[in-house]
Amino acid sequence: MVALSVQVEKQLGNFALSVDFTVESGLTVLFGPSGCGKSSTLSAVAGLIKPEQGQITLAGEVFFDARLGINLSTQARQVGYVFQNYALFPHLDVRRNICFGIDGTPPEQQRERLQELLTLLRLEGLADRLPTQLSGGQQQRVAIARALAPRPRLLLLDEPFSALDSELREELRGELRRLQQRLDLPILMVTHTRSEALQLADTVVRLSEGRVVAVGPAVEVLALKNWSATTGFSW
Amino acid sequence: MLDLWFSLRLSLTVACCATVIVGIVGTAIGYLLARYRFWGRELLDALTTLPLVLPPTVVGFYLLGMLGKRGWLGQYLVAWTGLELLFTFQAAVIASTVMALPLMVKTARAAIESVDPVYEQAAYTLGKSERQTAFQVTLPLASRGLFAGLVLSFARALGEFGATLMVAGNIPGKTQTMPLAIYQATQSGEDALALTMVALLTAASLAILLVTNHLSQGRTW
Repeated sequence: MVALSVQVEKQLGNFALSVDFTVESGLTVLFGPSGCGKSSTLSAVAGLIKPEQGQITLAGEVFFDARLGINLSTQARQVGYVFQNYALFPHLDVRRNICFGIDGTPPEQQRERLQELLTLLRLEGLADRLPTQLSGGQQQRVAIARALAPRPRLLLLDEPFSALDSELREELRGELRRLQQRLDLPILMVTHTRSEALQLADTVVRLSEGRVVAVGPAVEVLALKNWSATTGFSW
Repeated sequence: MLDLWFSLRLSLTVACCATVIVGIVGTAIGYLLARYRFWGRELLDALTTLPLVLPPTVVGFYLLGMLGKRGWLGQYLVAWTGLELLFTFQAAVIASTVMALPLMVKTARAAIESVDPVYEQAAYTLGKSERQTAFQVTLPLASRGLFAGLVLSFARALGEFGATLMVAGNIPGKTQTMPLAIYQATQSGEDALALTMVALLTAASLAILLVTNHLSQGRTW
């Protein structure tokens, strides 16, 4: 089954984003150097920026189609988004951050979901803390819990490990992998770290200068050293 | 006969009413200016700033033309409700509101612009509408700046003189606010009374500033 299909074009300043890829469910990594359009692609999937051309579909549902004039709102897309610096609401404690997206449901349900997520992400005992009172790793786990709370159909992660030190990074990568398998949730993650892509990805989408240069299993795509658009077809 | 306590009470009441109105209207306009691109945006900004640069008497003159019995707003008000605004408590509130509005709009706009849009984006991905996001995320995160705007507006409203004199008059026991009473006392040579009122107004303003400074401390976002 096709999980996610993205084909978008967008002019961003003097940089042209033109990506086209289709991936199955599982954990997909958007890989490439800084400024190659990874984060913009993520924003387009979430509906935070509107492409000029193309279409985006998730499991058969059209999120965006320039020709048909379809552009679902971010709210209607129901995708979880973990931002690079987590964007935890600084004025709300962990409990209210996690429940932010489900605060319209009955309190009993909210409590249950909160408990579930606190356990899943090993955040027990931290519910009353403010984001500033948490370590980097804890903040990241709260951000994931907050994104998971409304049961999204897709989880987007923008460089989720970049703000962490290397030891913690190692540990949390394993955790994310386990989480993905346990929840059976499609994940689209952005990184510029090769080891991260190798360790985590089912599929790697390699980007360079706003374009997709390769799509496939991590070992294959990442073995192509120094692949760039200019040296692309050398054989 | 000047009624010192009446004038102080009136000044405080007028300033409070004006601050409430300015707080709501000014925050709304500041939010629009900070977060939306629309036709006439710069004009709206300029119009709300105008009372800051015009002499208060000019603003008062405009208000007279607007609110008077034959004014373009006043005539309908009289026709529909029989209400006459000029030289009443309400007129004093309107004058103070208009004069304080630029301060609130400016500070609110700056405070809201300083909120990182990523928090709003996060709220959208969590299913919140723009309206819910404004009330649950943007405004709370801008609260320090908004609070500062309210304090400035209150201070401005409390000291309002020129526009108030034009539209509310200087009626002892009815529309004579503290600054007007001080002016009259000075004019008629009642220096001791004037001094008492000056001291009272200074003390009240100082107390308000100290309390608000104290309240706004200890927040880190």
